[in-house]
Amino acid sequence: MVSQPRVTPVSKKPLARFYERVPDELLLRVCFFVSEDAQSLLALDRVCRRFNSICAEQLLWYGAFCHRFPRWSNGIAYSSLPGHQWRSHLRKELAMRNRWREFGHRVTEQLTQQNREQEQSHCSDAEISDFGMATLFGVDMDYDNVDEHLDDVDPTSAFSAVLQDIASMNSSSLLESNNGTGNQANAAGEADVSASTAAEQETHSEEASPVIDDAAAVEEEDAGNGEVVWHSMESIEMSHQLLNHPSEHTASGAKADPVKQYLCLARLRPEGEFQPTLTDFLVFDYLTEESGIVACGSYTTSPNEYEVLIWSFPDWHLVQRIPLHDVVEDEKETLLEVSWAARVLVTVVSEGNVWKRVRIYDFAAQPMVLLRDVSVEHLWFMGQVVCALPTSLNRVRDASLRTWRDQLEVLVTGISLQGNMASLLRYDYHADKLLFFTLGDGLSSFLHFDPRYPELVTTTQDEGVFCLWSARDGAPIMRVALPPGHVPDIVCITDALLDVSYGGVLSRLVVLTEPAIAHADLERDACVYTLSTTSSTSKSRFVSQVLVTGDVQTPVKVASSRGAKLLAIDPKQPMLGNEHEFYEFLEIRRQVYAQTQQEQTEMSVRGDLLFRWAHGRHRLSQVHPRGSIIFGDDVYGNMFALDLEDGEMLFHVPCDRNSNIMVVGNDMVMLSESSLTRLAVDQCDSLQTLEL
Amino acid sequence: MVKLTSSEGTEFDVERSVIERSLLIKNLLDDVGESDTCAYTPIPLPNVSGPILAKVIEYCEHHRNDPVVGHGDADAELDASGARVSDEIDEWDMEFCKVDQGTLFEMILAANYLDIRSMLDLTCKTVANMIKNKTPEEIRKTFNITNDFSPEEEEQVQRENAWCEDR
Repeated sequence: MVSQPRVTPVSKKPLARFYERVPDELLLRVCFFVSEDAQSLLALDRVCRRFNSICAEQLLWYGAFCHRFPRWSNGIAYSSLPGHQWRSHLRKELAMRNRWREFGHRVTEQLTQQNREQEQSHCSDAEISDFGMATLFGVDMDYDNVDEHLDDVDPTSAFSAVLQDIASMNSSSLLESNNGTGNQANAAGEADVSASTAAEQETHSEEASPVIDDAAAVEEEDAGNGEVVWHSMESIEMSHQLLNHPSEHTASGAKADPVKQYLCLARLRPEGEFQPTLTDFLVFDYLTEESGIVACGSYTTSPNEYEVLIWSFPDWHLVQRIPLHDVVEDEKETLLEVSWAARVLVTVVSEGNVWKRVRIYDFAAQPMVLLRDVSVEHLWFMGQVVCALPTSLNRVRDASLRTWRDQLEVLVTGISLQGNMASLLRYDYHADKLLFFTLGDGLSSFLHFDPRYPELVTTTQDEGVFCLWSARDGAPIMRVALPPGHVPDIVCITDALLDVSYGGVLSRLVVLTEPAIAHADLERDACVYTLSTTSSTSKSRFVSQVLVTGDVQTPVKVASSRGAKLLAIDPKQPMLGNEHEFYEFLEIRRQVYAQTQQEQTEMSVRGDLLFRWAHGRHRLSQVHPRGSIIFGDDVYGNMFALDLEDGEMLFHVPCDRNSNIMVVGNDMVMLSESSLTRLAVDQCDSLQTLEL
Repeated sequence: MVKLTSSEGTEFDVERSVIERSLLIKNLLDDVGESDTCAYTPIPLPNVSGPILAKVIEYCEHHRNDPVVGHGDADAELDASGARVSDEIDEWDMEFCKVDQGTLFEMILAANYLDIRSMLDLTCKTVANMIKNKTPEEIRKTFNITNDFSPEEEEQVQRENAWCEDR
């Protein structure tokens, strides 16, 4: 029996007094319960100094990260990354998603606005042909701004002479442009209209998705009345003046929005004049985690006048123009790689598709000194991705590597034109030694190389196989056959954690599949695997410091009962095709699958399937993974960001086709033949635009 | 039976099996051993007021048959990701925690002092649930907390959290 004491209420005291009486360790306990909701923890962190200090406990944020990203965080143990700043990490993950989600919304809004205004302007065909879409947002170049930025440059800097050159060039451009303003405006407008008409399809619904897809492509063929509603990103010609002053409004009241800012723009010239073009290699080099340079090449005044253009980020100033002109007729020299810290420039001299020489320059000296001129003509090789080793990430992590000329290696992955085989080329600067490897002896349909993982190359083959190769010596590391019914479309490696400094430490293998020819009813899948290399081949030194494996305490969850191992997705057996060749094809696929499954027992890489899901109908053309988000574009000319955690399409907007895109810091840069563009939602006050 | 004395001197008689949910008291009784002494010698609890001790006893009485969660099971309520799960509070517990904030904080302190792990978690969860889905300003208002960030600190906090909020 329990006595019934007389209970009196707690005296009424100010609430703050109770809160103040609770010791930090108990409030921390409360915070742990709050941490299952990342947003609530973020709010609590901002309440007062005391909570801000209590929330410095990184385990809280690790918990919040795991709750917010339950699938992606699988297998990442807190203990595996001592000292990791989980608070800032979670903020970064959330901020990146929100930025790009907002980017998508703003582009869609702009397209809708553009559509609405264009519909209004359709009252007269003559008006369209005279002004076209360009008039909707204006295409007046703000030349004064370019010059103003150049005026701001410290005249004592090493590059002041170069920048003065830029200034004078812009002045002359201004004169030329002023002379032909009317013609240019018309030409630009007409070009935009014709390009858009050819590229886009019509729709009358403002609510309809602005992206271009299979269905839209079909509709495009049926479109006959000439009305154009949705336009590619390239067709949103926003005035630079508006970009620089986003609070201002267009004449029609639409608010200008800096979702797209040109860094470099090749303007249309009068007929007969040489049209400047930008070249395909887009380079970035980190100086620290948050800053670095972006470079591209351009032909400016003639096919023989080539220069390398270099911008700093995140402030986006043009910091240097390096001319290259030591080539003979029919050859061209283009940029491959810039290492800003080491002041080394790598270029290729090519004739047609064939690479003839790889050149390495020291651009610290003026004029630039050619350090090496390596002949690769005999290899019949065409490069796709290039990096200088140690990579910028290596150098960010290890400052002593900044003077790394003695360790310099140039690594190029590409296609051998003799047999269309994936190949890689390594040039050791110190030993002056050139190595060339062909990756296997079969045709490769796709090759992926990410400078963040300079020791790995992935290739895919038509019979449903993808391979990992050592970029060190070309040795095969893993060969995986997807079950019949699926063909690997794109295979890439990404960081388990979105943080530059951990690039290559924790890795995920992302396999995006296509339905096989006889299985058109299947969906495109995205499979995400952990990547562990605990027993790598003796021949190849594999990605160093790979730590992640399934955590014993938090066993890896699998999305499908059809197996957790990299290879262990059971083959399906349907025989959908009636044609003989389908049977034959499927039989080959089964044999390949069986063979690779047998070989797999001897393979060196272990991977657990974290999850898989159907990623929809968008056939991708290039991807740039960054943590759990993959950026890329699809074959219909849409750019997207896909959240691998939950399959959310953060944005999916029309863009210029065949662009080279890169994620750089918080921005994305997009290089086409006629423009280098920064895509972002944040205004950049110091942005500098260059017109060729 | 065990006699407990609150900070004001109020005495409470409670069954040993009930109050043994408190590890503090259980260990004390275990040290004293099986004797009648404890029935007649009140155990002073100077950190717990009468009303709060009554709540503690009410809690222990209701949960007398629950398995005891001790320090060895410190992570028993951690989910697979390592975070605690707070949304599973049964109906009685929810009613039990419908008290004013002062009482709730006193209950947290008492549960901690008496080392009643399950009650500590319950009360902390309740406070956590009062925090969830609120803005910083709403949290301040709820708990009467003063924003003591300097303008510079406030700016930095805002900067660090820019773009982090779900929109």
